[in-house]
Amino acid sequence: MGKTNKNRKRFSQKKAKVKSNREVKSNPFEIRLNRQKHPILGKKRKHEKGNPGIARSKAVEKRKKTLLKEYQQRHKSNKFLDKRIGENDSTMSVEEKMMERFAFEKQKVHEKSAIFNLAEEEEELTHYGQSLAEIEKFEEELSTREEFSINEGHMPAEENFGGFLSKKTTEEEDADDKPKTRDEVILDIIANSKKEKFERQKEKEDIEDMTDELDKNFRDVSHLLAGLKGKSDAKSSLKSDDYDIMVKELMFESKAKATDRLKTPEEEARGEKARLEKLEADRKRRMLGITEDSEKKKSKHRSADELNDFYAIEPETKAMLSYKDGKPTNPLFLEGFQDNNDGGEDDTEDGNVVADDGQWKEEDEMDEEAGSGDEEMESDQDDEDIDDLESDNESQHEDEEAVDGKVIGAKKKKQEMIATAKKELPFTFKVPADYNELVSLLYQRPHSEQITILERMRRCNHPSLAEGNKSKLESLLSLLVQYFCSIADDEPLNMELIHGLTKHVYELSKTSHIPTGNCFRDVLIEKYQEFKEVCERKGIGRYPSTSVLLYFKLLSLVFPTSDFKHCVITPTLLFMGEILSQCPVRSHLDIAKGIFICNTFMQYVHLSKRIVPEVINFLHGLLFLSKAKKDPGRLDQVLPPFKPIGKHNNYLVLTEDRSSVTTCPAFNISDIFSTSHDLSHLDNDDFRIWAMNLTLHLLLEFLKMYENQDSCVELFAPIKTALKLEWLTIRKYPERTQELHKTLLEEVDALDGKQKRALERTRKRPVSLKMFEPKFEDNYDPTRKDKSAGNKEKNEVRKLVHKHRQEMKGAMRELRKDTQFLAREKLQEQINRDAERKEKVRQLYGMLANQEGEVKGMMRKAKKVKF
Amino acid sequence: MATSMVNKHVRDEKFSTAGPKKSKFSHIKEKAIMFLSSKENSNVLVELLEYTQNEEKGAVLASIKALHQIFSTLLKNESMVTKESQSARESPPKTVHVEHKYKEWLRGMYRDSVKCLAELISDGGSSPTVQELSLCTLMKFMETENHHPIVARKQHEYIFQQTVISNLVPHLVTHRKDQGELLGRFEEYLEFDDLRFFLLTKLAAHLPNVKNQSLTQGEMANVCQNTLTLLEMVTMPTKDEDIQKFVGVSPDVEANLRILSLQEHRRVFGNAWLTFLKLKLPSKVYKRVLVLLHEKVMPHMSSPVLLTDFLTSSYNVGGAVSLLALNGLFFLITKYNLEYPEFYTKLYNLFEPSIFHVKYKARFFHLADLFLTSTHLPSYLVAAFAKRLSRLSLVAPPNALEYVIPFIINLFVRHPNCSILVHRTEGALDFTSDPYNHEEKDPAKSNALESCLWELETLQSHYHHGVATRAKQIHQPLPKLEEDLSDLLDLDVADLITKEAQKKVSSVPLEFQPAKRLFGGHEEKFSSEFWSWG
Repeated sequence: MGKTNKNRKRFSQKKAKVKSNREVKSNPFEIRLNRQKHPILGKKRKHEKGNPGIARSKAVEKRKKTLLKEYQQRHKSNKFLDKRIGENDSTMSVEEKMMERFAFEKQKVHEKSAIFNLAEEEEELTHYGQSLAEIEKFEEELSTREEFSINEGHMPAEENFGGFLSKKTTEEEDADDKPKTRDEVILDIIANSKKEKFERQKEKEDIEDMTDELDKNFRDVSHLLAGLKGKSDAKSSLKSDDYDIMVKELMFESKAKATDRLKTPEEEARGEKARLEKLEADRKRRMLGITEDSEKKKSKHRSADELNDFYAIEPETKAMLSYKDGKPTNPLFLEGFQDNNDGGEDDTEDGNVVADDGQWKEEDEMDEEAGSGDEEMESDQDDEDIDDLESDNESQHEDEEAVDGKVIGAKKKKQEMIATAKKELPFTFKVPADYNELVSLLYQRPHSEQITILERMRRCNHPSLAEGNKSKLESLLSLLVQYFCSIADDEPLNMELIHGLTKHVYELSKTSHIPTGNCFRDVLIEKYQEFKEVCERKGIGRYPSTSVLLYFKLLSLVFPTSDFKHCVITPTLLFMGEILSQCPVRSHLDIAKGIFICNTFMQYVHLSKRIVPEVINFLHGLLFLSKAKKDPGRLDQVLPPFKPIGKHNNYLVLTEDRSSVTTCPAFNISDIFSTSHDLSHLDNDDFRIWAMNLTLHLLLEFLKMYENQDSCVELFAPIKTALKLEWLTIRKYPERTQELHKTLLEEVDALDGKQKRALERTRKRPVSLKMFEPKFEDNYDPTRKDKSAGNKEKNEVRKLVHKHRQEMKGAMRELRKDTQFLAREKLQEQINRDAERKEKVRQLYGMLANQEGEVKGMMRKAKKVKF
Repeated sequence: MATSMVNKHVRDEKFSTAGPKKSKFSHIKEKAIMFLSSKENSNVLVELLEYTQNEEKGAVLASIKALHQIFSTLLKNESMVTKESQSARESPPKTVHVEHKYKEWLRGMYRDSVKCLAELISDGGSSPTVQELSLCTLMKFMETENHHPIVARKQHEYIFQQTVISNLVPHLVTHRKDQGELLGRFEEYLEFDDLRFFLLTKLAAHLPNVKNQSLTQGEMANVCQNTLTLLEMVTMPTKDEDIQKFVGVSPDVEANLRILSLQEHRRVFGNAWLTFLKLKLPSKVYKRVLVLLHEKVMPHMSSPVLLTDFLTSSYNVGGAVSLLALNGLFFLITKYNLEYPEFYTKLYNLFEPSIFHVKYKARFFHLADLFLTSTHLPSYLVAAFAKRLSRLSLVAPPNALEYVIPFIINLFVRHPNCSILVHRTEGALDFTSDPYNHEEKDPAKSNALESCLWELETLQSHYHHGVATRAKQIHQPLPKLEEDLSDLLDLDVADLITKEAQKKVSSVPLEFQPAKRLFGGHEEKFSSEFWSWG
């Protein structure tokens, strides 16, 4: 590639030279200069000079060669046949073709010539007037000459062919004298610099080699000197007393640095408020579903203070260190303490064994390992005792001595601790590798202990402590979610444990957002598929288990439910909606679950105020279930999953008058979903009243939420009719129910008179008139010629369109010139023909005139004869 | 013939050694051989016939086989045929008479045995193997009989021997049980054009009889189910040239026969269906018929217009049946210029809240879209449809909304006049209530044109973002092209969820309000009045 480029370059240079020669010769009046209005320095221009005359004549020449040929041959119908052997045969290789052709030619020649060839003598081949046969005899001589010539630096060809092709030596000499071209000079410079560099390198290498050699030699000698040197070192170390140590310590002690001023409580509160406000604003923006771009930008510039950085946990780790009976009270520090002790032990062990130079390094590494886990803690605490253990690496011996002193104390402490710790939980936990491990760890422990274990596990694996901890915590999160789902199905529900788990799940979810999202989404999809499978097997929707319901609730705590689009929340909403619209109520438990989902929906949409037709429909269905008398003749308007006729339709009808009841107890979540009581705890009037109250309460809440919607009336129309129909039976309910009923009815009635405005499309903003003032661009870049459309694809399209337009223009111009040329040619032809004809006519006329003249002359003569 | 007899003997000997049970079968087989060996043993035939009524399955099977053997031999030898000219020449008158009588008797026996076998097919007690065997035997008889007719016929005359078919039909569509399996076996025979032709003829003749019998509901359901299964299996030829496959003798192509004309085939097919549809169909069959009608039946009928009555009455039934009848009606309206009064009014009334939960909703919406493609519809009607749909959308599940909203917008694209429903700039602009009356049955009186689609505006805050985005389209200028609904119609919630789950996310926003407990945290909507958590 490079070579060809070079060749091309040279070729073009030659060409340029020729050209310039001609240009000089050509008429200066024929050159057209394209003047520049504003000369710009350092800018290369393509079309500075034009040569219209030459260009035109060239174009005409070209047309004469191509277009004119075509034009002249337009009526020709004969064809050129390519009879070359194997020319159109793709199966033959070039050699084969050549062989064939050669054979054919030979044969042909032979056939022709061999007829008369009597003596079968070969022709004598000559070269430069000499017989080749003769030359061949001097083979040896030639080869020696060749060598010679190569050594001389001549081209062998020159020698081989007698040199008659090359120029004479005198000319060559002339060429050497010529000043070098710019390129050659540059090449020379490059070569020189490379040479210099190489030399420098070589010199350096030589020096290195020599030094190495010296070192080697020195090592041989050094053992002789060793005794002397070692002594002096030992002396100096002995000399250093406490004072020196102190001085050194003080020297290396870190100095106090300027820190930020402590914030006053007010300032802190203000900061916190600002942070929350910002988060709230973000939430609102997402709720409206505004632009992903801005969000993307934001995610790029994530500040250190933001969510992902464990903001919620930070303050907890900064607990104060306090001692009680010589031990730190805070388990956090205790833990650090213990770790450090372990480290110390390692040190001493190593120290005992290690005396060799070679193993120092290893020890250092060990030190670092032991220390790395505790860095965070150390930075927080100012306790020098433990810190010292791993600080100075420079003065190893001193360290070891110091360590020895400490270790005894530490060991004692440790023994004490082991005794107490045996009763307690261990302080460090590894993150379990799989779900079974986690379960075996937590199995059959009281919930408070389980929570503590989790807490410690998280502390030990804080992302700032080690490299892989973040991913460990991510896996822990998915295990915990799994665990949450499994304990949520337990009978009876352990609410405390669930609450504790919720907290940990929430906090762990902050580790990294995308894995969190994926983890929760995967579990959700799994649950959904289970639900779907059951539905398909039974042919009808079945309410999912308690764990799914509680999982919905958990999701609402981990993710913002008000987002317009959310990769976890959107499928969850769809799932809940499907449950409400697909699963028919077949037991009291189903009612409880359905109502729970309605309430969860409330939780999900209370900020975004989104419309959930399924909930309204379901609550309407519950009202229908509580209706005492169902007309046998008239079918009520209920939508699936409720059916106008069915055996479950009386589930919420009160069995007796309960208007005297004053208290309506709340239902415990752990009780209401339990299946162990055989549902008898739900099949009573208390539950019915509760369900009715909750239904009315939720309807009221939803109504308040949708109040401002234009078609709220239509949305609540079925509810309204249901409420009115129920007016009679409501008397049986306790006061609270009646009160709720009344308020709801009033609110629904109040919707009627609301004004609504006719719909209108958003108007197009009028296009402003073009201004005369110059338009200023903010980010004007003069080096960029075209303004990009902002989009890569659009830019590409724009470029292509431009190119297409240019090509089109060029093609049209060419075509126009072609036609002009042809017209010219035709005209020329016509003129030529006319001229020819004219000439012929003239000749004929001349001939006729002559004839007539002759005839007349003869007539005259005849007359003369007569007379 | 002789060799086969020898073979039989060998086999029988084998069987006779097997035991007492086997001996009975071999006994039956021996009888068949006895009958074939000489005319003196003719009365064996009566015994064999009796065996077909036997309790034991094995005996029945053996007797069927025996009958098969006997009659296929007889038929092939043409020993039951009386040929006048031949007999007159060769034997004296008296023997002729005896011979004639004997043949007559044989023919009678043949008919009886066909009847017996057919009886076996529909018998509630007989096992599937017996049924299948007797069916196959009958079909074999039919084939042989058609090649060697028992009644002499003229040269080149085409007669299809219908002994078997006429006996078979009532038992195929029996009221006694569901013949689904057996009919599956029968399907291969329906490829024969002549068989199909006469089967359908006989079926059309038989079905009115069923109507006259006093059958219980279950029995009627069986008849209908069987007939439907049978008719469903029929594949009709589409060109005259396709009629080539015959069980019996192929008729002369030159002769202008009914059996060779496609038109006749279609007529027979149509007749069979029409008589079938006159029965009182159970709802399951009814729905299936409606599903089949426009694709499998109507194109093959000589005059589908005859179905108008049926379809009209179905359309008036309401509910899912009406939805299904739409397809057939559409076929008639478009291809046969059927004038249907108040078609659109009825269509309008089919739009009910439960429409989103029925099985055939995709088909219904597809058709409704087709019906409303016409640009000649008055705008009040289109507006009424749009408004009704938008009202219904308030109770629709999200997957339905994914196509309902584009459906409405497509209506506006076709009828830009109606877009006043989303873009009203003149007249009274403030409303206290919606002028649209959704209870009105007549779209003309529903005042839809005076209303606006506030429902869609409400849906702009639907919980699913896809729906919300679609609903926001009403504020944008009308698109130039309609949106294709075909992909959207089959969507269900599971599709939406998987679509949502497969999206790649660049960031997952997390809740910033710290959560300490599952219940009772920040902004708890689970009111402590109703819920408690320990």
